[in-house]
Amino acid sequence: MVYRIVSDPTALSNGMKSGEIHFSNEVPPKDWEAIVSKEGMVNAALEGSRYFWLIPNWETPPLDNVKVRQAIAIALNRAAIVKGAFYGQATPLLGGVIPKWNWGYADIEFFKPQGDIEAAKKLLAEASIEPGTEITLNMVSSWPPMMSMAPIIQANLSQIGFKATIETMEVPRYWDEVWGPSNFDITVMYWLSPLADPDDFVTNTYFSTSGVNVHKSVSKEKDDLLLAAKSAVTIEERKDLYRQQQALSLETMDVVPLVNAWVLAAHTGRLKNFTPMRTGFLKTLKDAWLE
Amino acid sequence: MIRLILIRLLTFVPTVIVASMVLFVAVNVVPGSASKAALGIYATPQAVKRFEHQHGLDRPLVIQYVEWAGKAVRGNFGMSFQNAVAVGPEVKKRLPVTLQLAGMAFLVAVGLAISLGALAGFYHQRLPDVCITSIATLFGSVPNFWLATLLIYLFSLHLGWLPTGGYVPYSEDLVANLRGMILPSIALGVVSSGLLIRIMRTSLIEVMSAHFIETAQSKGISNFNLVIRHALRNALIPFLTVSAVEFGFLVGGVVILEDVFRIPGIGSLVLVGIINRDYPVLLAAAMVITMIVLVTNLLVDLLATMIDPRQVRARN
Repeated sequence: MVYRIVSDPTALSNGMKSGEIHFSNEVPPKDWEAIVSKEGMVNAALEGSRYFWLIPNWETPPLDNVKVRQAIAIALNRAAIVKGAFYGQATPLLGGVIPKWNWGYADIEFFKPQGDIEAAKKLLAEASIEPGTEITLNMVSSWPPMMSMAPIIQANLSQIGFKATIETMEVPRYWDEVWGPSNFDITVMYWLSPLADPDDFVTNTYFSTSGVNVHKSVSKEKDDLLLAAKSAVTIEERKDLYRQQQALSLETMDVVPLVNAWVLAAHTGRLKNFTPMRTGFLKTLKDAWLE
Repeated sequence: MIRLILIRLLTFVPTVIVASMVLFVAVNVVPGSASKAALGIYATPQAVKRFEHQHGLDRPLVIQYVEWAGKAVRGNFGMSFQNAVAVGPEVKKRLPVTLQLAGMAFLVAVGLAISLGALAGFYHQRLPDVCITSIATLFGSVPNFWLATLLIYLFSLHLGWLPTGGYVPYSEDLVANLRGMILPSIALGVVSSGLLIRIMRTSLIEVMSAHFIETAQSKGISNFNLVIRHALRNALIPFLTVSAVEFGFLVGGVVILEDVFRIPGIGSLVLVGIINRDYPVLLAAAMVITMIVLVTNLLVDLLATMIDPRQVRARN
């Protein structure tokens, strides 16, 4: 077996379409249908542990106002993001960020899949936000799903009266100029949980002293819930604590859950007994063989 | 002649030093820090400091350069920031791949340029000239990655004649190696031929108006022999110099194409180095490309001097 890293998604798709590449667990969503419809190709798609979230900067007016953050969060059309940025290969996050397949799933329906523009407008009116308020959306140019979701988010923001500008830059500059110094109004990030434990989905994103807390939200109540959930003994107890934390985070809208991407694995019929992992890791290849 | 070669060799060394300095500074001043690119989401101020200290990035640039250059001349290009792999062996492994691609693309470019350029020059201001000049303009203005995409679509995905990419070492399977290199060579070579066709055409037009051509024509020589035996040989001298420069561009031009065709050469290493701000990788790969360009120019300069002794007399 030859294992290669193919950095260009189109080159990967071309290789799979022509039969030169026999296996990938990172099939680009845009080419998913074309690849799995190829004769002899086995598809193994499942909801993964890579979720995307929108980050409003708590230190930048008017995003320091919880009503504004909530208005933005409920205005977003997650169904359109799933369709436009992931070609249907993602699940909208309508409540907390822990996905449905995980035992820590909270079953909270806070958002409507298509968004709720009227409710969002009402919240903005309560927050005395003038129509035409300017806001900047910083995105990483080299991550295709983020570039695809940017105009959808921009359109949703425009529907509730914001004049949103998209600014893009490559990854190293983004880390240096946007992420590191928290120099943004709104940005988008993703987290791939390698452990698939509920804690791994929430602590990095929500804990006050986490390095990922570039939006600068601070909540002792939330931190206490997260710490308690780490040390709780039973699954039921932990599940309840994560539910409380996620419900609280939606009220304060620290970050805005968007979608959970699917692991898109496909392979030729020669590969037998391969079971994809939700983390996208390849550990299970040890149990597979080539015929 | 020997004096000229010595002068050329003596100017080569400072050129390499200046090029390495420019490269080193350019890589270090480009926006986006190596530490944050490597640490990504975990780039806390403490982690950044630790990373920079560990890799000597917190020292003055001059000291960093002197240390890097000192090791580089001994073939030690350091370790990759991203995966802690020694960069020198990696570059050495990839260099033949890139040279093969650039070499094959060069053959495509030169082949097209000599045949089409000579034809256009011979039929100056007539229909073939107009057609070939237009084709040359088209070739020169098409981005190579776009042409590559079209070629992949047509010859790989639609017709299924050639692979969409990948690389098989020629030591393993020569036929598979050549099949894999055909499309990238065409994509790279056709675009480069745009300029070379025009150079060849202009050069031949100039030669065709020379007195010795008139003399040859008056002797009743056929058009074919006139072009091949008399005009083309003389027209090749300026063409040779420009084509050598073009070879340098070809080596540099593989950056995107190697990625498009999944070829594990120096170009794809440069791209990864840029994306990750992996300075050791980027510097080593860029320095090797620079060296290839400088050595090629030096060799062609010497070759042109040998072919046309008038250049030596003019310099003296």
